[in-house]
Amino acid sequence: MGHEAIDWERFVTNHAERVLRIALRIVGRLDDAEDVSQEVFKECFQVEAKTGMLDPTALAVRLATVRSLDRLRRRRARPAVGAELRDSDRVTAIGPVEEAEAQELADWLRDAVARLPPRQAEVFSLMALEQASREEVATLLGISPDAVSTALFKARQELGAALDRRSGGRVQ
Amino acid sequence: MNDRKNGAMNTPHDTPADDSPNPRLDAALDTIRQTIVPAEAVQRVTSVARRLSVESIAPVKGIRPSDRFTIPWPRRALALTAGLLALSIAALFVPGIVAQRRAAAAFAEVVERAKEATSARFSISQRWGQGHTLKGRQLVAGRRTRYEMVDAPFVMIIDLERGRQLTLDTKNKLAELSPLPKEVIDLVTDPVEQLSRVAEQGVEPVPGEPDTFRGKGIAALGQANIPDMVVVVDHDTRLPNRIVIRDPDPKHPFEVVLADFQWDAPFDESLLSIDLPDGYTTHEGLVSPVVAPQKATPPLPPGIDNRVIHDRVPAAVFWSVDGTRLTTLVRDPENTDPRSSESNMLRQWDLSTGALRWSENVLGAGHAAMTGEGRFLADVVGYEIQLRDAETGATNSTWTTKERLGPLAFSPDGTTLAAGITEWGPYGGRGGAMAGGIEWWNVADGTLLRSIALDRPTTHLAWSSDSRWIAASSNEGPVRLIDAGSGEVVRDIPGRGPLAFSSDGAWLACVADGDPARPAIGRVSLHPVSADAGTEPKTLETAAGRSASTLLDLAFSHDDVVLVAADWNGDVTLWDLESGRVVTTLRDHGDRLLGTDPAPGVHVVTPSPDGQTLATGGEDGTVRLWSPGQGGGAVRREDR
Repeated sequence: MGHEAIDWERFVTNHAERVLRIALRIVGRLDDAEDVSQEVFKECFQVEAKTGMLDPTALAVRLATVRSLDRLRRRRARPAVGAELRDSDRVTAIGPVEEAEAQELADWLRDAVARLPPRQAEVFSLMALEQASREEVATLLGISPDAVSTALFKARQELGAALDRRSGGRVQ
Repeated sequence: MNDRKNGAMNTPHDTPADDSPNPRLDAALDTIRQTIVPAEAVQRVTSVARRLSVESIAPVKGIRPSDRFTIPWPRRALALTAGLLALSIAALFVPGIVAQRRAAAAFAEVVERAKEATSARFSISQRWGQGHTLKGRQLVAGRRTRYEMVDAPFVMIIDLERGRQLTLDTKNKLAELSPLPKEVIDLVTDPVEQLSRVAEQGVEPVPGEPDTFRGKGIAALGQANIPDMVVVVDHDTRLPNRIVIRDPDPKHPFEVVLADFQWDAPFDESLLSIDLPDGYTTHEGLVSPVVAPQKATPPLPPGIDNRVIHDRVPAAVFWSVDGTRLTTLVRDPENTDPRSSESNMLRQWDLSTGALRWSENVLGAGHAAMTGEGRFLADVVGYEIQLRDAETGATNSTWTTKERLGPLAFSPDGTTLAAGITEWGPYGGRGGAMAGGIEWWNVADGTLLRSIALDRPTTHLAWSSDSRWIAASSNEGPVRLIDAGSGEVVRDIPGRGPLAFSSDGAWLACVADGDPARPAIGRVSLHPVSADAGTEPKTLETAAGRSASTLLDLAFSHDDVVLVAADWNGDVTLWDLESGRVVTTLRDHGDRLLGTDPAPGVHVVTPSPDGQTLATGGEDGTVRLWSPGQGGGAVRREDR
């Protein structure tokens, strides 16, 4: 790899869990998350081979976020049949009902995040799901901390409003 | 927004935890954050990602032969043609780029020699996606190329000078002369642009491999940026001897190997002529023939008891109703290097002739089911359930699921398909524990009829022949007896793993815990399905196996006289159900690899519909067909 080549194995070992976790939290399905993770490492590898990674962690985290959101948006475009049918299921759940509701809400939230403008979606995913600090997100995305706060605020506002609309449209 | 009424702290938006204006939103976030990342998944990602660097320097491995494939021609023609030509060019010119680099001196010589050559012959093998390998031989002279497929009577001659290609079906003596597609011409008439792209990346020597050079980011095969290309130069002739181009991307890997180069070998001019050869008739839209399997099944001569199908590892075996055909779901052996793993296949064998009737790629599908009357087959690929015609293997319909599904079982009337869920929580369980459940699908239209959640992954399913019960179990247990009509869990049964209902529906067999002091002995529990029958559960024990026992499949004979169990230690045990004694233990699956430790495991046991034959499938890549003479008439059935 020529210049300041990183130790690829160590890079992978150190970042695999985080990349997968980010992907899993955003896309919500393990197989999709694994796919995304592999895409991310492949991209990292290509960047490393071509120009070298300036900040390997930032690249991995950012790519994990962006590629996961891409995946989520693509998935939204063609919802699974199973998902549509689920509402009419007769489910004999062994486990608390709240849990099913929380899971449904989580799925809804992923969907809503996918609809946010890209910057807001990235900031929201990194801060709310990955619990990265404002400064870390600013560094990762190459924007000012204030811009991070603004994006997060707008994202939460939009998601909150969407959540209200959703609740309003349902029989309580 | 009503985000202030819950009185949450309104701190600056610097951490998400402090910013809690909407409790429902935060509840959803909590749920998402509770997702546990499975360690195995991290391991999978790590090992695949690590390989990115390993593969680019690893020595080239041979390509495994594919068993059967159909080439969508002429759809693939473009890619194939483009690939062949681009490769030919790359093969001739890559040394030129290398000259810029440190290896310049060595390569300059190679370049000159290659340029001076008037012709080159080589073998070419291409693997696209998972498991499909095209093997061929190629002759290149100037701007003309001849490509012959190894496994099929199919030849393609391309003349760039005249912009034509001649396609030949040498078996049926059919020929088609057609213009070269524009894309092909574009691709091959501008080698300068291709070369300049290659030049940007350069070629470097591979450390520790003398006479070996690697290029990256080259343009070939109609793709702009192929990650890896390795050129091996013959030590004596200083000419390229082997060229490997590959993309290790696990999602759509491909690998092309050009090898056995013969430079400047004399050739017959007619081989490169695009004139209609003698005896050929013109035929429009030539379709390349279906290629026969390379690993042909040995015919099964009648009268031989121990009949064997040699193939990959059978994960499931189904008999046709008339007992003349066997459908298998085959996969790679457990110890296959992931880099050379191939797709799982559904195959159907004609037992009277030993011929392979059809073979369908099912990617990673590990489970399949067949309806009782043998009309449909079902398998799950990713999140898609595929319903197939059991006669032809063709997909009738597919539908997608939301959960990761594993085992499948049709209702006895074939109208409903039950699928076991094997998913990381929280479907059915809190947090990140593996959980499971069952979904019932309407076979006619793919609608979800019902689903239940269970707190353990559902790894095995069985549907009783009277339709009333479904048994579900996980590898660790317990076994759940479920009312198939209502979806209610009626009873937990101690036991785990593989399940089988007796033909009369009265008994359920499952695997029981072994005795730690006697690990080589496997135990099967027989439970009365009806709890109030006053019948006690029974336990059957295998004879001591060659190594620790792990039972992988159970089956009752159709007359409920015999129970059969397949063991990972290579044994197939048959019990007389009345006496509870072992009738016989079949051990042939170990024979082929005798002396290996442990012996190849047996995964499936399935009696034929007439009860006259028992099919067993093992890790040794065989399906063995046992007749009554073997095993003391074990698979007998009362005459009717």
